[in-house]
Amino acid sequence: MRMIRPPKRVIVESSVAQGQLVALLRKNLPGATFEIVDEICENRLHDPDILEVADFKGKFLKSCPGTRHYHCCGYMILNFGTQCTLGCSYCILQNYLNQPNLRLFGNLDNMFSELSDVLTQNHARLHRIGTGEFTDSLLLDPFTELSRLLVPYFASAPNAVLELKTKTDFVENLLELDHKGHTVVAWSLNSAEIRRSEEPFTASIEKRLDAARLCAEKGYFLAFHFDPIIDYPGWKSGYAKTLEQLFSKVDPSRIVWISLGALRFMPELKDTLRSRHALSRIAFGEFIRGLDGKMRYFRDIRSELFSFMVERIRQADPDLCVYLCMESDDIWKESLGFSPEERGGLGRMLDCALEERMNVRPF
Amino acid sequence: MDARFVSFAEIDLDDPTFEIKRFADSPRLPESIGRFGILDPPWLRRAGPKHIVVDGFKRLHQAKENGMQGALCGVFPEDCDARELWIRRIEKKIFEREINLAEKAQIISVLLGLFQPGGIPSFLLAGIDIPNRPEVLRNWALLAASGPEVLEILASGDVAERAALEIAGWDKPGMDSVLALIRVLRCSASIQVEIVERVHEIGVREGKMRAGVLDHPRIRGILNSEKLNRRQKTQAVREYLFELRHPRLDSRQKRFQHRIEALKLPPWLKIVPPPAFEGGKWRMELTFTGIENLREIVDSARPFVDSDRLGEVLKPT
Repeated sequence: MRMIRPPKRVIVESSVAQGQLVALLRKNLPGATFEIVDEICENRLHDPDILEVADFKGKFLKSCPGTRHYHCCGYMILNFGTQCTLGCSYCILQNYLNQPNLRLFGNLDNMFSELSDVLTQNHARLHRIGTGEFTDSLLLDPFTELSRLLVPYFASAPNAVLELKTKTDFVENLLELDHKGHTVVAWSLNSAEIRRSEEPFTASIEKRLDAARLCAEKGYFLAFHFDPIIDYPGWKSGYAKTLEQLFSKVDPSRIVWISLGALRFMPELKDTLRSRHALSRIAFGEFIRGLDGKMRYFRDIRSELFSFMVERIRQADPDLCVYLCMESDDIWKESLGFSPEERGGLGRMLDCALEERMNVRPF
Repeated sequence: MDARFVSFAEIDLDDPTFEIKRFADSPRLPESIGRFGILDPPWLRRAGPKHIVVDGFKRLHQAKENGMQGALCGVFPEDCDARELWIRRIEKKIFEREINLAEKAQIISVLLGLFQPGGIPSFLLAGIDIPNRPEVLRNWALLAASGPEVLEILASGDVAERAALEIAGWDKPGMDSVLALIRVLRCSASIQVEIVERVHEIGVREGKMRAGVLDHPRIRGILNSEKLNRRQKTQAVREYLFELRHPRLDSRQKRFQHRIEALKLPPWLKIVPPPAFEGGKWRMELTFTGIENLREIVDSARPFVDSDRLGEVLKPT
């Protein structure tokens, strides 16, 4: 993947104009104009050339927005920015946010201070913290170098692990960092066909896996998220091929977990798909309305998708932690043969995976 | 605008410049014109030596047919602003009475020709209850361009507005076949939309023309059936489309139904799966007439609950 087109205009709120993030952006975006404003106006029109740097007033750390009906991983989201320009057809960010432009939060001091407070207050707990929920973790890293701040921070946090989740291959900044085994670099994966049709601006599967191998060579542990898995004619061979590529490029013992999630979306996304991605066929699968109000594949289809993936992954490494994202007990049992409760809950399962593979445990 | 008597010799009744067709009969018009003449003056616009009709096409035609020589009309000068005239013409139309879908479509088509995107006066759109969103306006314009047969069906009131907008832009065979189906079924707006969406989604998923989805012996059999009434036909069409749209869920439902039937449950006991078999919450419904009866049926239900037969029904595949 070539680097994304650098933003041409950076609009900065004056209260964060002297901060570290803006200084890094000024260094890495020499061709951009920087405009300082009191407050960034809410704008409903998307402009890919604009990057906004705001003074974020809310909480940087949030719990993963799971629902009570399905098992959630208990992950914490470190929210350093919003939006993404990778343009995946199924992406919930198209409907989630009323801020259409890429936005970063410039008050990094507040972010790290909040992070320190949470980690200190809950020091007996192992914190799994990720940045890839409201934006891609590494999309803007070539310009922000945020990873150079985050990875060392977590390297010195004994009770926390950072998961950077991406569909890019922008790992250059990571390679020379002393991560001390407290950062997991994770990729969303899909079949090559779905990557081409639904994720056209992301790095190819091969490039993502090449980047993963580079990270593994630098001692990082890895994670992979097959999410969204999409039911289409030929899905079995498509996903089998990606799994083959994965295990041929990456030593399974470096993988701390693999998550599986079938396509699910708020009903409104259907209109977005129709207007923005007219050629996409993914909304025409056999969906039902789930208990959380989202559209999801009929359970038998999900169960078949997951069972197939689990079987292939176990062939490569029977001990690798595989989990389902936002699924109910019955689907867990059919696909994996057990429910999270039998192993102390999904959160506990993932903590155990960190302990076993990465030797990270709380005090 | 001047008000004066204009003879038919001075009116070009066939000039369609300002025509918004109703595409529906006005059965009382001949009698009313015959009895009272034209009560409300039609509008004309001067065009060289003659006049063209702005409003009142049907009334003027009927009056001429009734042998009248002309009518008292409101006459706009030739150099009047055409856009202003259209706005008045549309305002008059939507102010006087409820307009049908064919008229709405034509009005939007005219307005899109008169104004830049986003520039259509909001009072006109509000008057016909249409949101000022480009995709909505585009769909109305597509309906306006879909030909007189389609507009006639829209004017008939047989097709719900939401369903009509869903099919705007469809290929002609697809549009014709779904409209024909809806006219036979005469079902509610929400069911029309469901049918239209299903036909579209099945077509897209299976790479079929939409007309091809409906061109099936089973659909023909349902529509031609003399045994089924309109409601039963609607239900049968919905079931057919559900099978095509949700083949695996449909097959699971049928499997469940077979298993339940094989159990030969007593009539007072019913097992209800979760909607779409999603989640683990199954229901058992007991119908009873009093506390004694409830005790009896709970006792007689227990062996069934304890047996493996229930597991057979609940098993996932």
